[in-house]
Amino acid sequence: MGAHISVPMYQRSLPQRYRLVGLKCQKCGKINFPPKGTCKYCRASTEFIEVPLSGKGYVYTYTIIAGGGAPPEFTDQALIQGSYPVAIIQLEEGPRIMAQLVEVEREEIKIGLPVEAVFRRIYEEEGVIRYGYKFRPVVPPCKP
Amino acid sequence: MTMGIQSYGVYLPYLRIKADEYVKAWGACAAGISEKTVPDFDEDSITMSVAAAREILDLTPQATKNIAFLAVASTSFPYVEKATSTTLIQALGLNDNIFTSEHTTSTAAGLEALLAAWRYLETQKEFGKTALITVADAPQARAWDTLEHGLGAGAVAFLLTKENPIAVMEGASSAAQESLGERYRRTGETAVHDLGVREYTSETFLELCRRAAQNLLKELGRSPGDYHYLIVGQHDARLPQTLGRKLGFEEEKIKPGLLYSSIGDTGAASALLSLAHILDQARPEEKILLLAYGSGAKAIALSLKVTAEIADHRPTHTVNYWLERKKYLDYTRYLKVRRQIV
Ligand SMILES: [Zn+2]
Repeated sequence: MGAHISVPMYQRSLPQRYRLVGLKCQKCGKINFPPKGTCKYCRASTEFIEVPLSGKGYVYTYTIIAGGGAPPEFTDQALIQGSYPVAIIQLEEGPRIMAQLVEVEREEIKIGLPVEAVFRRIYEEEGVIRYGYKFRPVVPPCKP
Repeated sequence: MTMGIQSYGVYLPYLRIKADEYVKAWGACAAGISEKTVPDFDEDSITMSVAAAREILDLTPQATKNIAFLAVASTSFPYVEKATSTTLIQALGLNDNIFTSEHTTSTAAGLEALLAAWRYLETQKEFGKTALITVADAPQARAWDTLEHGLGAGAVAFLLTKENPIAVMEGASSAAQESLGERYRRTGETAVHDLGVREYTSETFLELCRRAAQNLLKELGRSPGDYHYLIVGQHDARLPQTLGRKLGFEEEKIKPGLLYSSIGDTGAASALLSLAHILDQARPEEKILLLAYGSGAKAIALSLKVTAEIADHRPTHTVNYWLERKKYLDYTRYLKVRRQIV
């Protein structure tokens, strides 16, 4: 977040950004997300298979980004929302990732809050809409 | 071969605004709503389409690999040029060799997408192939235009099949004719307009819908009495009921499908969101007549018959569930979220 990512770079990472595709290490079995060239856990393998993650997890830790502290591509968002929550999400498959939280009141956000990934606009740059994941509190199924 | 709907999914944004907020801001709310859905600042017809489709595919992930056709529809796609279906292919992990079709320019686009998928599947001999349709909309108008008061947002997705559908698609009929002065949006504009000649445009709506419906009834050898539900795309509060009366449908057959007063005008998604709402409650053997209308102008009628399969294919979240899950905005916040003042 906050660093310029060129369109070609964004393009290459679309599977991870649009549907949380991670890489499962063929040696140690751990899931690398975001994907890496060499497994960041065993540091010994470059053999992976692609696995889409479930998008389920919980808030590991979080912070509130104040309007003035927002990176330039989030200026619009800061104007609209004032400030907004960003969290480290502990995914059920193991990886921890940083993402914005949506559809949640400040007082509801706490460590351990169960969340799930949603597909949203992250920001716009060079006229191109950058879509990706954010997280919302888990929407439980209807009672039968 | 029995063509029809295999499953469906719905998405309504979390945010709402009440008609009272318009009363406070403008002295009156020009739309017959009690409240309406509001897409968040980071939502658009693509993100909502993904959300509705995921309601289907999260429940039945194995269905993904059988999808051979994707039809998308909206009057408010974020790009006027650049494929929209490809964003969904990536976000949903669909096969990269599927055929796609994209439907826009009028609120009839949603039903057009459904018909395109139907026609495609009909030509396919291979067993087990399905078609995915996503329809999402979030039409916008200028804040000072009373047309803006009723505009909402929502999305719905359907998976079509040739084997054991929950609702059989029995037939469709169309009425189309050049008509000026109704709702329009020129290239380069973000806001829809109309010329405020409601009485005249209402007549076109009623006439074309009547023709489409009556042609279909004639074709199928049916009368309104054979149907349990009449669904009409709701772009205002009153016309669907007026049409129902003119066609000879009792009030009780129209009411169950009406969503306008709680979500507003959801554009191309309106008629099909109401279809999802009816499927949430329908029982086997019940028949549904559905009408979608688009300015300019065209009306399409579709006849459906619910089957016994419906009991085993209920969605994870019903329309009623989404209606209850909400947070209210005040008018100033609404203007910001809809980027009217930011
Ligand atoms: Zn490893």
